[in-house]
Amino acid sequence: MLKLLADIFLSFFKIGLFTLGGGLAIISLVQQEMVGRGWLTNAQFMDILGIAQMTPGPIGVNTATFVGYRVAETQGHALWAAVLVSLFATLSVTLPSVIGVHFGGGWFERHRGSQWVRRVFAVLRPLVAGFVTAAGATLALECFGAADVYSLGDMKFGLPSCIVFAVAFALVVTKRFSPLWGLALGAVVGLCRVLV
Amino acid sequence: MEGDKDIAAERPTAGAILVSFVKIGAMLIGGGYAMLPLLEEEVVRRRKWATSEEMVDFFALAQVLPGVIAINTAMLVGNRLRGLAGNVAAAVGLLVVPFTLIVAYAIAYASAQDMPLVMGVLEGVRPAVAGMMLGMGANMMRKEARTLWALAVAVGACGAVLLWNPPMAWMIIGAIAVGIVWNWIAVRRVGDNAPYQRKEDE
Repeated sequence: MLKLLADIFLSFFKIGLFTLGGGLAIISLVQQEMVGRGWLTNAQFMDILGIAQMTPGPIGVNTATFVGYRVAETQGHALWAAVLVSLFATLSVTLPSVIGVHFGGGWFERHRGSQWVRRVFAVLRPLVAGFVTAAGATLALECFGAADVYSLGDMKFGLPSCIVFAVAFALVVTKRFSPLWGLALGAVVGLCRVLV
Repeated sequence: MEGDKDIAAERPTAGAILVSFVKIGAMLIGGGYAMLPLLEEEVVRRRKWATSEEMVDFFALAQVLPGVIAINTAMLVGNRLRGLAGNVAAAVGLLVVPFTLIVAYAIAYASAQDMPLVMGVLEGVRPAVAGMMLGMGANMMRKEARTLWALAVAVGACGAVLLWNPPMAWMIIGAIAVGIVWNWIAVRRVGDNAPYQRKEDE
């Protein structure tokens, strides 16, 4: 059990540490670690990607939770023990962030008044605005069926999706109501598609 | 704390931070990106724990720290409000719902292989997430891209990501370098340490 916990800690701490800038770059490392250690088969890894298919970031976290449970279970531990191992794996993958935010955030709070930090952030802010717009555009392309900007012409517009998209956009831009309503509308449309 | 306008008048307890982030964490399962507009809604508009400019700063900082951007952003808010306790409270709060769901999925994994209802909901929520993100991008553009330079940076970043998808962390590091050089030139030319002012501050 101790050996297992140590392995889990090392593996997921490493994944947490090297998840830089989010995105899908981390997936290959997660796969390498999990399949290499024999904790998951490639098919199981694909299943986790499926459940987390819309989550570019937390794939490491979701994998940690899932793998922690599965590995303990296959080694014959009780359900509560497996849940605890799962919790342990989740905390291991989060720990590098907690440390990074503690020091990085603390540094920022101390220096944000200084003029060079203000200038740096004057460059960073529009950059980040561009990132967020690009992320939104990429997601929009994806859910309307285009793989990337280069395949714009293949987009298919379903009316329900367009309405959900427009409502969510308007909610955020007008700032009058919570954007959660847009998500709720999307969820209802998704459910109707499955049930009807 | 008196006179320090940047810090919320009443610092919330770690418990309040935790509760606030549980709700947002529910959206982690629907995609890390979906969380950002909701984070803005909760932290800036409802609780007034940070301004939207500060959220953009945190978001930029989150990209160069280890870990998931969306989670890091939330943790930076917690860290700012309550130090390490707030940092941990934000992380724990965010992870409660995804953790519970994934454990449930792991327990059910052997028996139920696929869950059409869950997948249907995820599929349906997708355009909403896209709309939210684009709306947030529009809001940020309106606010941040006010000078020609800033507009060029914003449009350049957006175009670069869409066309070539270079690693964002490197672009951030490059931008930091540009900021430092800009500051160096400004200090040398003006010859003093006149603090840089944002447009709104003037």
